[in-house]
Amino acid sequence: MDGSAGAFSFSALTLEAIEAADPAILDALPFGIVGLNQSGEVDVYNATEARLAGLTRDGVLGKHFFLAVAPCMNNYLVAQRFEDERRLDATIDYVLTFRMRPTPVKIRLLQAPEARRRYLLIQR
Amino acid sequence: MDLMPSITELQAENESLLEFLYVCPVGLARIGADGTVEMMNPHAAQILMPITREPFITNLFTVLEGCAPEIRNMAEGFAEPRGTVCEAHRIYVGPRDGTDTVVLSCTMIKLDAARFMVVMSDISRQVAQERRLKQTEAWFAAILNGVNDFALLTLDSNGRINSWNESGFRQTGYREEEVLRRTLNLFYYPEEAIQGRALQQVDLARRDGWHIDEGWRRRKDGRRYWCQSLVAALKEDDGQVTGYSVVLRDVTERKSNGDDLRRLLTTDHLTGVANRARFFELAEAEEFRWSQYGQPLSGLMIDADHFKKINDAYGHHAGDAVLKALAATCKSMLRSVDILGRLGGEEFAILLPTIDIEGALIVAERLRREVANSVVEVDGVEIRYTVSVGCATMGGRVTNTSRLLQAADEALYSVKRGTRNAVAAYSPHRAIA
Repeated sequence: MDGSAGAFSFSALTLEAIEAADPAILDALPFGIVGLNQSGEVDVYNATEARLAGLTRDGVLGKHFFLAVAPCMNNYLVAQRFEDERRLDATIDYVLTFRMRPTPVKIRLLQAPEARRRYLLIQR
Repeated sequence: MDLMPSITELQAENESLLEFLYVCPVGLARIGADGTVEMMNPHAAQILMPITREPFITNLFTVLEGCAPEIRNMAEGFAEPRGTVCEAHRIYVGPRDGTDTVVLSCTMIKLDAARFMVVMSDISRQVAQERRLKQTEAWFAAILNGVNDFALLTLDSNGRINSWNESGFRQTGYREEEVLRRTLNLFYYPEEAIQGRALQQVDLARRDGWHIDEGWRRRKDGRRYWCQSLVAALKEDDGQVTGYSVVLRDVTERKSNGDDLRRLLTTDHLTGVANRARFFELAEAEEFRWSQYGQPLSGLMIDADHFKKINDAYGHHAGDAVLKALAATCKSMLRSVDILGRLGGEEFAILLPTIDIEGALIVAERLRREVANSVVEVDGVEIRYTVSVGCATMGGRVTNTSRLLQAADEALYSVKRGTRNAVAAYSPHRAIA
């Protein structure tokens, strides 16, 4: 992945690249990726996110992310922005409590009308 | 048989515990004795994030320093080795934009010398609801618990009383059977009732949703009281007015207290009638009424004839006595809705709501005759005096009260140039001077 490290970095990764990427590549990234379908259910949950959150992919897939997995993001800073901004690429500082430890993170929110899913990129 | 759970089983259990804590809708945290956050669930972070000024929550005491410094003091001051430090302690965070004040409930338990368990939840809504309930209760208590200066009643969509209770009886002396199906006119002085003030208030409430008015009202036994009345329209979802709620408030006492100051500011010290400023203030209100309801409004300008000669012949205090007598005569001949003011020197003005030019001329002539027949006694000397009166009414080019008074003044001037001791109307063909 040497040649594509730049394109697959936390700040450079695009919606198209995520949707086109092989799941194995997403799993190998050093940050978490969560993809939600139009109903808000988890469609994509990469291995990094599963490991850091302490949840298994199978346990999370199909669940409503903001209601059943991460209600701490169900607010105007995160969930509401997906509702309000049809085209969205924003990075915010946030505090998540992985395994009960408050952890400062950067979250990148990605959404576009032509994309199948909306994505959260989470970098610890 | 293997009693130890397998790694897989532990992982599954760990995951479900984590998930359990991730979705828990109450904030949970375990902190050290100095406030350092050791463990915290997502909801706790969510509650604290709007409060903290730092990007990361590392110390609970630091986060709460601004709004609840007592949390640190309580924890540090808790001498027992373990136990409940506080339970459902309320933390008032402050107003959140556009919504109710944020209030947190905090329970803290000391586990041992080094660890505290903290449970937090956002109870803003609950607190706001409690506060509204308390306000409502206080409002009702004030109204119902024997505070006898409130009366509550309702009107149907035609403005007729359809509910009445003890509070209304206490204030007005009327029993239910005497008021049902009557209008608010019942409490007004007849001349104001004829003028339609009560019904106008209901009209305005229908238009604007509510209306507040105040004035002298009459009890069943005839005694008057100063009453503030609030009429609020009761509307269906489609905007249809189905009735009105009315609150009548007896503020006679408050009025008499406040009146001392008001009197100084609004009355002419010599004659006790409205001063110039007050007169034009009241005139403005009458002008509004006239423009809204189209009932006639007339004005009189009155001037004591040869006043300078009275002053010269008998002295200024005799002149003052004449002005006082003139004001008293005017007052005695006017209705409670008429407005009398001293505009300056020996010049008085009167506004006559609902009275047209013919009526105004009758009032003016009666006044002129009364004055001409009166005698003012000053230091044993009898002084006779007369007045000239100019009349005008709203309409045509006279579209506001200052023009009304100009017109009446013009009529007055025509009398002054002639015989005096006479009355004239603004329209030349109607002058009877």
